[in-house]
Amino acid sequence: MNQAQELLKVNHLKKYYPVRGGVISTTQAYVKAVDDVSFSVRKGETLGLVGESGCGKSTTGRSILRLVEPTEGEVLFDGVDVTRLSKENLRKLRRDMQMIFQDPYASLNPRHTVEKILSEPLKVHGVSSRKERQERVEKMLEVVGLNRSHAKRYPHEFSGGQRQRIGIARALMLNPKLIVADEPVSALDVSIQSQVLNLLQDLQEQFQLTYLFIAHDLSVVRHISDRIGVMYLGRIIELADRDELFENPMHPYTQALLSAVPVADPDFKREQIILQGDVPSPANPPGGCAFHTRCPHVMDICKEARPDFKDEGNEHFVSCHLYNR
Amino acid sequence: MSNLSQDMFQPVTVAERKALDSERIVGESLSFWQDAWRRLKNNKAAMVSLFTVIAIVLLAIFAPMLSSYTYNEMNTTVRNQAPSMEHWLGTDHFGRDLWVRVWEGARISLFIAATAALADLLIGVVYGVIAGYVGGRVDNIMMRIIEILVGIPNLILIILLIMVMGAGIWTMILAMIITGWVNMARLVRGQVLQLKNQEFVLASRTLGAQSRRVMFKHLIPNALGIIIVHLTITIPNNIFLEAILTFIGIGLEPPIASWGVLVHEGFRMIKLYFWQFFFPSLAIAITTLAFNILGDGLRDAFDPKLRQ
Repeated sequence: MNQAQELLKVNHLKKYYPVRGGVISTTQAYVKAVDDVSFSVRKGETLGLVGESGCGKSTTGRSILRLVEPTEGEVLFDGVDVTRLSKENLRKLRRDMQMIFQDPYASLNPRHTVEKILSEPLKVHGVSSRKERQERVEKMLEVVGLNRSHAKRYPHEFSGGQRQRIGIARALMLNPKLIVADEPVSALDVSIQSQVLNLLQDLQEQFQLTYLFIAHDLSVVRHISDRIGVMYLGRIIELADRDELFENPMHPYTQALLSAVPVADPDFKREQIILQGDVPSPANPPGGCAFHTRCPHVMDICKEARPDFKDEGNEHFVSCHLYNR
Repeated sequence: MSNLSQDMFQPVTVAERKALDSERIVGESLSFWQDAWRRLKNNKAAMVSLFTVIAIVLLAIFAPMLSSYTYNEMNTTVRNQAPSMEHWLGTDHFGRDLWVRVWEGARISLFIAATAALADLLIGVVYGVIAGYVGGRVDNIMMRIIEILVGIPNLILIILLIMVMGAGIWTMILAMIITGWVNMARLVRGQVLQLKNQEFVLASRTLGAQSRRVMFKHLIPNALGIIIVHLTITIPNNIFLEAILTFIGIGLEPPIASWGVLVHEGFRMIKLYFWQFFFPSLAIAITTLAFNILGDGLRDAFDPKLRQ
C-alpha cells in the first residue's frame, strides 16, 4: 500500500491524564490512557480497534477528533496535522471527520426534535436556508431507514436502534470522509446490532466512507473490519488483516482473546487460554512489555525493554519479544 | 397449549414485514414541556398552588385598582374597625382600608422577591455555566470566590448594606441578590458539570459548534428545569426575608406598605385588634406555602425519577 491512500495516520499518539493530589494539588502521577499508539487507516477501509474496557480505545478515538487534547504525537488527516490546527481550521476540518457515539440514549439532546438535532451540523457550518436544511434532513432520515414524519419527534419516542440510526444520520449530514464509531452497537440489542452494522456497511459503500471502528466485541469487529488492531493498556500490540489476525494471532494476548470467543457448536472442544490476574492500573503500568505480568510466555527481556511494533510479514504488525530473533 | 398445532404457524414474508411498517411511532408527540405539564396537571396540590399563585398575582395587580379606597388614604372616623361590608378586612389605626393595604403589600413584596430572584437567575446562570463549562483553573478560582462569599454571615452583610445605602426597596433587592445568587450559581455549575460530558454535548462539539452554541442550545435548556424549580423556591424565601428584616426593624419603613411593614404595624395592636396582624400574616403564609408546594410539584414534573 502506498502512502497516498492513507486517509488517517496516527503517529506516537499519547494521552496522559494527570493525577492531582496533596494540599496544593500538584501532579502526583499520570494515568497513561493512550501510550504511544501508531497506526494508519486507508481510504475506504474499516479499521477495527478492540480491547478490554479501559484499554484506551475510546480515548484514542476522541484524541483523533481532539475531543480530548492529546498530550503528544501527531494525527495526520489527509496530510494535515490535526493536533496543531487552530480552533477555526479545526472547526472547518470537522466536516470531514465525524463520530458515532456509544450510548444512543445519551447522544441525542432530549430537548430537541430530530429535525433540530440533524440540522445542527448544517447550521454550524453555515447552511442558512431553512428549506435546504429541511430537505437534507428528510433525505438523510430516509437514507438511514427512517421516514420524514419522524423529523418532528423527540428522541425519547424512539427505540435504541432508531436513535442510533439518528446518531448515524447526524454524523453523515456533512458528508464526512472519516467516521470514528465508538462502540456504536454495544448498547444495542443483539437483534438490532446486525441491523445497524449492515446499515453502516451499506453507507460505507454508498458514501465511500472510511471507518475507525472501536468495539470490544470480537465477532462484531470481525464482521465489519478490513483490518483489526488489538489494544492493551493504552498500546496497540497487534495489527493485521482481519483474516490474518483471526487465523494466525501472534501476540499471546490476542491468542488468549481469540480463544475466549464463544463458538456456536456444542461439540467444539478448544483449548481456552486463561489469563492470570487482572489488567494492571494504567496509572502504574508495568515496565517493559505491558503484558508481561500476565503473559504465559514471559521472558526476562519482557520485564526490561518495551518491544518494538514490527511488521512480521504480510503487513502483520506485532509488538512482542517472542518474534525478535 | 395442546390445541396449538404446527401448521398454525407461518413465517412472516419480507413483503408482509414491510407492510407492518415497524418504524412507525403511534404515540402522540410530546415535547419535554408538554410532558412536564401533563405530569403537573395530575398533581392536585401543585395545581391548587399554581392557581393560588395566579390568583394572588392577579389580586395584587387589580384589587387596589378596583377598590374605592387607596392604601394610604387616612380616614380618622373609621379607625381600627373590625372586618365589615365596608372594609372587608377592617381598617388600621389611621383608618386605612386593610384589604387594599394587603394587596398593595403583595405588589411590593412580590416585586422585591421576584426581581431579586430573576437577578439571581441571571447572574447565577452566567456564572455557573462559565465555571462549569470552562472548568479547570477558572472553575477553581470562581468557586473559591463563592466560598469566601458564603463564609460571610448573610445578616451582617445585609445590615452593613442597609447602613451604607439606607433602607429602601432597592437596598432590599440588592441585599437579596448578594446573598442569593451564589446558590443559583452552584446549582447551575453542578448541572453543567454533569451535562458537559454527556455524549450529545460531545457530539455538538464534534460537529464544530462553538462554546456559545453549546451553552445556549445544549447546556442551559437541559438545566432549565432545575433552574425554574430553584426560582419558585427562591421567591417565597425572599418574601419571608423581607418580612423578617422589616419585622425586626431593619428592613422597609412606612409609608411603604410591604407585607413586612403591615405585619410589623399589626403586631403592635395584636392584643386589641388582632386582624391587623392576622390578615397580612395569613397572606404571607398562603403565598409562601403555595410557592413551595408548586416548586415541589415542578420538581416532580421535570424529573419524575426523583419522586419516590
